Amino acid sequence: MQKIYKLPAIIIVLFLIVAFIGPAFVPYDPFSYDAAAYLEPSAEHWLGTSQLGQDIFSQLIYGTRTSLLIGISIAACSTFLVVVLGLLAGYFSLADKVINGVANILLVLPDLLLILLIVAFTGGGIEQLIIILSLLSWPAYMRIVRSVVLTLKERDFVKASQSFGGNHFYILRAHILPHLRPIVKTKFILTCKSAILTEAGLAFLGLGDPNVVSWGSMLNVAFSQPTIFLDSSWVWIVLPPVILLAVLTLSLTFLLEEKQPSKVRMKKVEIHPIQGAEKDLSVHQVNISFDKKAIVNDVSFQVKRGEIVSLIGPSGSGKTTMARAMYGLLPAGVWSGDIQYDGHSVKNQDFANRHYWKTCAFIYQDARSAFNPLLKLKEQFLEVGVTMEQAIQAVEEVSLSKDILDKFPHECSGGMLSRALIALAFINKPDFIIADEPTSALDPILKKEIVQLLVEKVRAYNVSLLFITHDLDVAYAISDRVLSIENQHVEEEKLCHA
Amino acid sequence: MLEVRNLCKSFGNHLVLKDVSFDIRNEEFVCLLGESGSGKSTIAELLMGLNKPTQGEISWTSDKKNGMQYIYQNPDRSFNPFWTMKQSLMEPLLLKKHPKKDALEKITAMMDKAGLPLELLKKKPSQCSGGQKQRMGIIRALLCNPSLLIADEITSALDPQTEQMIIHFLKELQSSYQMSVLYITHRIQAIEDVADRVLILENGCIVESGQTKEVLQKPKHPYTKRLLDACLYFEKRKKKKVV
Repeated sequence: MQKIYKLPAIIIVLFLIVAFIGPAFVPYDPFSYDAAAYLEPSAEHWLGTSQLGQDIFSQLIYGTRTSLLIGISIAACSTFLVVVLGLLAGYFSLADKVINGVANILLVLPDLLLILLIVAFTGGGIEQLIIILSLLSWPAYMRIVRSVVLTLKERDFVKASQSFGGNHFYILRAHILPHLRPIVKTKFILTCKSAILTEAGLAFLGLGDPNVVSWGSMLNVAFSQPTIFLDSSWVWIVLPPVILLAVLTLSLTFLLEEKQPSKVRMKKVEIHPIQGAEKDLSVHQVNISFDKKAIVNDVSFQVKRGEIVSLIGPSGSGKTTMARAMYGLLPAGVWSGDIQYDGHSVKNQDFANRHYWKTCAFIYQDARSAFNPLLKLKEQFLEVGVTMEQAIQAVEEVSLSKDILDKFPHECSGGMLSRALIALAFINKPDFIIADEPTSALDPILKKEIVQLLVEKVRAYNVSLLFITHDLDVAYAISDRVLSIENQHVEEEKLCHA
Repeated sequence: MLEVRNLCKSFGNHLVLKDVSFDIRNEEFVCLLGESGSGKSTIAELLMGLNKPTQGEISWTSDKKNGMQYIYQNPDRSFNPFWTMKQSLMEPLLLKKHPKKDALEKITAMMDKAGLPLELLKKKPSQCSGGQKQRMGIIRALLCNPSLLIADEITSALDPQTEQMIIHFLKELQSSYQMSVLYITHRIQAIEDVADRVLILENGCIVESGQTKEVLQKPKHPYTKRLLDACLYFEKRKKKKVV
């Protein structure tokens, strides 16, 4: 199953070999018409002969070369234009005006009409075709490259390089160009494909270069004599170029298909109740490992109703991974053990639907990225299944005015959004709340207010709170118990009131 | 070394900095303290010349021989993700036409001083931890021998232990490199022992400035009091750990 992704590449390599070595070995000159017309396939003429008595097999091989030559040349010229013009337009605002202006003009011109006109006037040589198609096919992708460059040039590492004295062309080459590789690859392959199809189409219409054999011109000749469809001769005259064209373009298309990680089949899991923890948040013998590297080992702990428990540890100790496991977000393959809320396991497939924001709620690290920027807060509150009155009551309880519900997230300050996220977490009166570093992005004054608010609400509603943080001061100040995660193990620290 | 007089900056109709004046002397460790949105990063951008002030001036009293270096808040974004750490660290030296061998020796010495294993040089940014990357960010900035180093919230994404390690690393280098440091942060506790002076910024105004000990122990302005109170709030309420 995995090998199928290599198939298009293998086919294209075969085409390349045929195109560039094949013509040396063909039995007949593709233009010679020594044989009789419409010969059936035989040992001498493997695919028979055409109306003019030309050997079809030889023509096919030469046609392969024409198609690939045109495809690759146009793709190379066009990709070169895309990269160079895109880099210039994105990086230098003066060049942008000129290049983008030209691109805009080219984008509104009707491509096909232009190609037909120019080819008809110039006689349709291969060189002309390559030039026209290269010149017409850069604007759309240039725009993509330009926008990528526009964002890249604001990145910190580019700014740093400028401050070290790197000149513009050094930065474009060393820092920005490598980021364009995926776009360049896609652009090259897609342009190659469309150039091959365009050439075949033009040649089929009789606008191809008369001095070369191509699949399109073979079809043009074939269709000029409709009588081939009366007997079976179309099978060897028409089908071979059509099949080759289809196979080549399909292979090019699927060349872009990347290998996907094989999907883990959903298995029915057995869920055993954890003894003595039917009314708690219970983490039972959890092991998590990524790529054989253990993150946590055999972790078990419980959070009882109404308790505030902090989970502390240095960055990189696996706190957030633990949190993701407790949200039920980790793929089944990387962890074992069980996590249950009131006896409901996160391994249940409908856990998210039945319990998110109802029995358990989450407060994320960055309140701004937790809200959808395109929806008003009102809509995001109503999404969790409450009425407008309840939403208003909830925001007023965290001392926000109800007007905030009619705002978009970008119209609110960070502090307002942190409060709104707390309101949202408590709105369905959940039994458990997991807060993952909710204060690390806040300044001290705001942090104090938000933590006070959180603790106040937890006490008022008798909710269990698991507070994940690296801020030891906060953890030791608000928690009933503190769990410390270090060296893949979780241990409880003993506390007393100072 | 650096004098900033009556600096104002507005974005559109929004006045971000109002009449900010301060100076930074040679080999001084100055801390700029304030909550988010108070204009801390705008000051840094103006000093770096990334933006032009609406009013006021920034002048260098001593020769600006090596200029400034800026360390970014997020170490993930300050390194090219396609480059190894070695390539990134070599960049400033190679751009200044140092021979490759010299550059490598310099970097190796700095890595030793920072207590970073040399294997890290072969790794990509995504394979190093945040603390390691931030220390390499400092190393990269110092390779330019700047006379002023601006550190903009460089530890706010890190845990307190790593933060302490980085600040002390910076302090140690400051004296051996004879440079001034402008350290921008919102965490007072972290810089208490290392900063010579603090500037407190509220809504684009410097409301208080002075020696670190003086300001932290006897704050005069109500905003400074509020800020200090909030910073120490949880520390005071801490429960003791029983060992």
